[in-house]
Amino acid sequence: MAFVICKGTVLKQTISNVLTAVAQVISLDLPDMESETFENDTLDNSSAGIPHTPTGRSEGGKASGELFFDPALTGHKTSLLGLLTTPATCVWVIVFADTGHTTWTFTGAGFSFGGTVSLKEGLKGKFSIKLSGLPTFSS
Amino acid sequence: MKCKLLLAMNRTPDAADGRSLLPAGEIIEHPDAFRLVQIGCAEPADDECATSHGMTAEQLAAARHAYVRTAAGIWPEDFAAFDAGMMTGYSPDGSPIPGPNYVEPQEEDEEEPDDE
Repeated sequence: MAFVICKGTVLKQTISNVLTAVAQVISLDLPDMESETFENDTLDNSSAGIPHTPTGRSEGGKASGELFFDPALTGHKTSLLGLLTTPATCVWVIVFADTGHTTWTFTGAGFSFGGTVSLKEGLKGKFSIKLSGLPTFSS
Repeated sequence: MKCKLLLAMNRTPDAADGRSLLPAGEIIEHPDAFRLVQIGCAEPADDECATSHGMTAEQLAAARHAYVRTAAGIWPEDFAAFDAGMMTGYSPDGSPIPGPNYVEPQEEDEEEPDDE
């Protein structure tokens, strides 16, 4: 058991079959995964609680993050925004900063990007990756 | 189109040959190989790649330096320390890993109490 720091965590995006680190990332929100359930309540249920049962499937959800956006940087301009001009699936990897550099690998099917221009801040971009399936959790 | 990796890099896990780690010097053949050059993790390995990246030597040098910094997971607030060679990355406890230009901080002289 350890308290893992966040500094040193790296998000990698596949470019030309090689996993390349995304520059100037400030924060990451891990995929909000959820196992799917259905409500199996019945008229003769005497309990106040509403029962649910898993369907056996799980939603990978979305991973998102924030970065200092450089509109002239190839890694931002071409690699990230390129997923909007030419939508395609892309393999992403989050490399954690723990001792063993644990990884979560997932396929992104969708991508969204926005940003904020503010007088008192650096230029920031926000992105979101829609997962196809679940991440692979390295051991 | 071909480029040559400047540092060891991981490959997409579903790569056909099953290799996950590509060593520095590995030749990558891909229609978008020039993008690895633009990002700063590779150099051109054929004429097509050399004419496709569209960057000056200074821009390429800056991209290479920035990529090493990015791959090490350096946070923006530590860019200056990394660029100055004061640190190379982070230890698992979050402390910076000293770089070649790291200088041990001088201990401040403790003031002796006045004997009055």
